[in-house]
Amino acid sequence: MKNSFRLLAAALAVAMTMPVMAAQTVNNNFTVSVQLASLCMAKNSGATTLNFGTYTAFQGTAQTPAAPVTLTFDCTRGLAPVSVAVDTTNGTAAGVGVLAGLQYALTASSATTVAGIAASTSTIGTADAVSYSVSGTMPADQAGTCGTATCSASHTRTLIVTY
Amino acid sequence: MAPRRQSIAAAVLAKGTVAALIFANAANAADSAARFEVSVTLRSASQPDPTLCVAGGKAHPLGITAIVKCAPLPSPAAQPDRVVSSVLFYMSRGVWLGTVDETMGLGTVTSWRVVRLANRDYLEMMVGW
Repeated sequence: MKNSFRLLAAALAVAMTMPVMAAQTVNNNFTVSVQLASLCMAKNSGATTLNFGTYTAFQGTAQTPAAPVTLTFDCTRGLAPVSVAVDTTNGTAAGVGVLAGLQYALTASSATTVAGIAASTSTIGTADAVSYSVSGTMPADQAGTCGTATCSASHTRTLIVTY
Repeated sequence: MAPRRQSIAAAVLAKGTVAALIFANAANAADSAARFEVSVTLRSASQPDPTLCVAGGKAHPLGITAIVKCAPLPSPAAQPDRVVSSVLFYMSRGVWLGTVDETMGLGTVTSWRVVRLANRDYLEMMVGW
């Protein structure tokens, strides 16, 4: 026991004789890199209907939908779509189609963009919301194709955005 | 799919500790598609709609009074249960197509004939007044 006290006393004596040293830092830089593949993604695909309502054969005025449909895309911030077209499966790329023997033409508005929130150290941010309003018209004085008193018809069109 | 963007490179040095390189590489044009439905209900005009208009005759001191009853929607110039002294009307298969003309006076039917066409018949009347 007496030897232990002697060893501790010696250690304290050595420690008290060491000079006081300040904390030091050293830098080692490195590179953080990423490759971002920009993208636009349809947000409400298949969820909307452009309803032309009831068209009476040979009616004297053109028929328009009660309300247009709004198609929204989430896009990489700063990525602006350059053009829009419509599928050629059920009509032409310009938006002309035929439904129940009635010709119609679609029109898409210019893009409306709501800027997203940039990412920061506290948030991942949000996308730019790019939306298009699609409406259309059915010319007047069309006969249509229908074997009964009334016929209802619908088909799917696709708005294609190129960016 | 032609390249449409030029590469740019920027180097950012943040307080001498971390160097980050941000590359914007050449991007190819790409598409994104959103589907939507287009719908319509076609009502064939050749089908009679019994709810539109019904025409009938009624004795009148000056001749025959036509009574046109329309429900629920009136024809373009008629009103429900409207009584007029003389009418000019045009109907096809029970569907009211013409308009009522109250300015016509009484006349006499001098001849009439039924004209048969490929897809319909119509009655042609010659009236003198």
